[in-house]
Amino acid sequence: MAEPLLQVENLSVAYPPYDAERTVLRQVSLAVESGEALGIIGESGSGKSTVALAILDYLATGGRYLDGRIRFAGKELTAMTRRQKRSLYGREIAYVAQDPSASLNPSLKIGTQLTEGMALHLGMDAESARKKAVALLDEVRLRDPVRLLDRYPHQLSGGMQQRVCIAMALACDPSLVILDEPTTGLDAVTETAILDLLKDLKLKRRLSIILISHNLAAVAGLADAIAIMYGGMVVESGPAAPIFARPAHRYSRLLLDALPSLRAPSRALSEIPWQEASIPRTGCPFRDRCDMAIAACADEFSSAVVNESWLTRCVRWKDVLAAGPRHECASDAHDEHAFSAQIRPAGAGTTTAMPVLSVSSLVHGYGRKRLGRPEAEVRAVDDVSFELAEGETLGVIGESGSGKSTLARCVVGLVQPTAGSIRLAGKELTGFSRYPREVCRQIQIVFQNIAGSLHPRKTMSRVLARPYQLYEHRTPALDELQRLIASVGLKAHLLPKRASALSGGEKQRSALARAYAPRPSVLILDEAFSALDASMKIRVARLIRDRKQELGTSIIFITHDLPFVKYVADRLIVMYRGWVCETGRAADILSPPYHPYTETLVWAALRLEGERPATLPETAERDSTPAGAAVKGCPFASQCPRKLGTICETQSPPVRRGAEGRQIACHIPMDDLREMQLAEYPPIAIAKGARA
Amino acid sequence: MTIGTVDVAGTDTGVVPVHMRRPLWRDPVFVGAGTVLLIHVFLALLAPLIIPYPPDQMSFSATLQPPSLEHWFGTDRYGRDLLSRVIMGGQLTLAFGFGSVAMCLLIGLPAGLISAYYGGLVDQVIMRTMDILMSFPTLLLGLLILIIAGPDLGNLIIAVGIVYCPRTTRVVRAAALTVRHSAFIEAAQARGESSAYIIVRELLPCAWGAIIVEICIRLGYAILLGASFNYLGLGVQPPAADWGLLVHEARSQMLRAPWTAIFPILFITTLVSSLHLLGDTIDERLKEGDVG
Repeated sequence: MAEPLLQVENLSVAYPPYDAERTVLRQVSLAVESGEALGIIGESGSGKSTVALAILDYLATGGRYLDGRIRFAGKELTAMTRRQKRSLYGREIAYVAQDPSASLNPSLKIGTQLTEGMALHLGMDAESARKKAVALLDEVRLRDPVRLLDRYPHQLSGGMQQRVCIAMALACDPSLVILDEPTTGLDAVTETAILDLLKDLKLKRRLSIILISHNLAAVAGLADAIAIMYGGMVVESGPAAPIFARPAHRYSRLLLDALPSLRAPSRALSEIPWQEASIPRTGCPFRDRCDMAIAACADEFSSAVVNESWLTRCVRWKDVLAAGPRHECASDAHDEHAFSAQIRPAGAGTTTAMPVLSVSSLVHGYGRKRLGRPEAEVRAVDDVSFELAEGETLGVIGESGSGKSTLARCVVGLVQPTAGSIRLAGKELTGFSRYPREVCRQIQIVFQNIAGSLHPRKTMSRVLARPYQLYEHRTPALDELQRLIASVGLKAHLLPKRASALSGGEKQRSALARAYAPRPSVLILDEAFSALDASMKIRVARLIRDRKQELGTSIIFITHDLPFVKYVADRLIVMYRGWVCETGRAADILSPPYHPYTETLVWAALRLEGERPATLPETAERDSTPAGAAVKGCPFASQCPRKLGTICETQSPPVRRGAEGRQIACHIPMDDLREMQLAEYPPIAIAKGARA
Repeated sequence: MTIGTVDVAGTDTGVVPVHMRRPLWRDPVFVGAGTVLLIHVFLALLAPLIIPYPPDQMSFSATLQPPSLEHWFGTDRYGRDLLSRVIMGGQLTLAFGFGSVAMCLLIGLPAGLISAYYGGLVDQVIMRTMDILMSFPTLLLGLLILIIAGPDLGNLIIAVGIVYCPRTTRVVRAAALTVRHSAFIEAAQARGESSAYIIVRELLPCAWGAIIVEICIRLGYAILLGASFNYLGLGVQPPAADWGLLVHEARSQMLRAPWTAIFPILFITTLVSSLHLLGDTIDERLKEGDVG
């Protein structure tokens, strides 16, 4: 077999003082064949980005290669001079960073940024570089590339920016492109489109790709080979398909089983124990959390060859393999039954008792009257109504900018709605400029922003004690705080620590504990766990479910993550640009008929899971028309794959009602929608067993 | 096998990993500047105990003596021992330095925090008032206040405080604004916390670092400005003398007896530079998120 394009052998990287604790990569070996894609998967902190940075010779200050070598196209990278490397990076090896808005220079035009590299590496003159830039933008499927060259990055949407970044990476026709979490932060539809683009580029250009992601689904669709990382080690590597089907390392197995899937039955997803203390730096890094760990795991174990290029570092890989393929064994019927019963109490959504929270015709608009002349009002939330029963979980789905966060802020009283009413146990709340403290106690919220959710300079004890001081005017005893922090699966030793010393997952769980402390009747989770990785999300979801049972709290769960919301919600509302296009039980919404917007979301989620439902008619790249700007007609008309005609643009769609409180706002009758969609999407199994 | 150290100094990451940073107390600039400041503070505190001669004791047989073993810093034109006068002057200098900064904070801290928290009209009123104050040349505004209020130490403190409080307000406001829209402030509002609690318990702790830097830098400026007023004769009245006034007294014989000016200037310079260097090093650490 020919030598791989890129080969990393036994690479170890450390930061000062270069001891075991600071060794961030341990004996990492990887290979990327020419024209193939390698997916690197791991939780945050597993060292997957460090691998990319090490290949790019871009480690943070003080980073040092302790051992190993990196070979690229037959040349030893680690032996090259800086000058030699400079001619390589950007030309042969290109890099696309995670956040496209941060990796484009906001003050340079797209054209300038695209042609820079060509002028430097290929010595092209301005004219030909510009021509090539146009061709590149066309290749990444951006419309009207000539005009785009004179735009600034802020004039483009996130998906378009990421496409520009990919075009920049392709500018000098590299043989290898490294993408670090290229789709994190993009909505599912855009994410699918970007992954499709990468797949195409790989084929057309015979491009080698390293795709780093914590999104297993994204990797599964693209990668030929995968490497699963944990604690700075590659714990398993090899061809993608067999590993996805039947991993040979216990960690890979648990990680893959934790993947929520739209299609798979909503069995109790497997759970990886919470990460405790530090990761062992010798032997198997995963052994402290592993349910199959034995004494031999602490010994240094190089790796076992499963077959050919499939390597695992699990001592018990044979036992892991013996567990059988993933999908068939994991869902045991009993567990699933228990799970379904837990999560959907009988009659949820149809309760006759007074709802805990009822929101009706809520409107929140921006734009105020100036000198008596009303400005065009932009509605972030437009005529939203829903009811929340006791102990019910309501999922609110929508992409960024759909007004779901504004809705949450209205409900907790952070912003005042323009019109409509919010009632908490029958009591009207919209009249208050500031909620009374008792109302505040009953409605608690956890925000999306992990970095800013807790005061960075307060210790956890102070943060967690505050609700007791505020609502009960007492300082809680230490053991009360210990119980509280234990209830979200955190250890008491975190109490004297400052919030800034906590990891993202710990912070969000502490925020959750603080929100639970006053025993609220409504808990709003505003994308609270979107930034956590898959296994962490599942653990948090289970936690919320358990606590809900205990306290009977009603939950509003705001997210853009369809498979995840399926796992936790009883009922769903789907929002698009401030407008509710669909409401109903979770089970109903995730099978036809869909509102055409929901359809695009489901389509994207299924695509991400590697299925290929009939291709959706290509719609325009999401433009940046502000939310609610469409005054007439259906807000979704311009993007709609099933648009009927001018009626969609001129008349606002009627709300069609179905059974079980099902509502779809569309000009197409429900039955027609069902007929059209059933052919393309077999119903998604919410009940047990019906995996297609 | 070690392949080599990777040097990426000057890359745009620019963040030095936490564990790589020297602790602040081992930073030579911080330690040096801190030592100089401490020496100044101790000299001022212990002044009456260590001065070799009473500062006002004149000796007409020994006027304008150059530095010698008897008079380390020499004598002035009335034969007063310059070393004693400079050390005693330190008391006054530091007193009005700290006094003025306290005055700055008294106005600037609440104004800046309130301005940042409420925003909108409140912000506009406070900040535009501060802008008006700031648009006067510092020396001119100070002169105006001192001429109206009359020259003495207390009025000097008030004058310098008023002259510099808009800058303090801006710094405090800017520091508070960086966290004003954080999720934890929103969470506090959603929790039903009072505005006073949020300002004092949530905003203020985040601004402390910047305030410490501001105190250091502002002290330096306040001492310089105070010295300028004293030099003009608008602050401390003779025979007491701070360093500014000492320079003023040295003016007429500066060329004949340079030491009369050099030593007070040296003291002002070392004190002010040590304060600024301290402020700078703390500021750098703050940007890296280390202090606090």
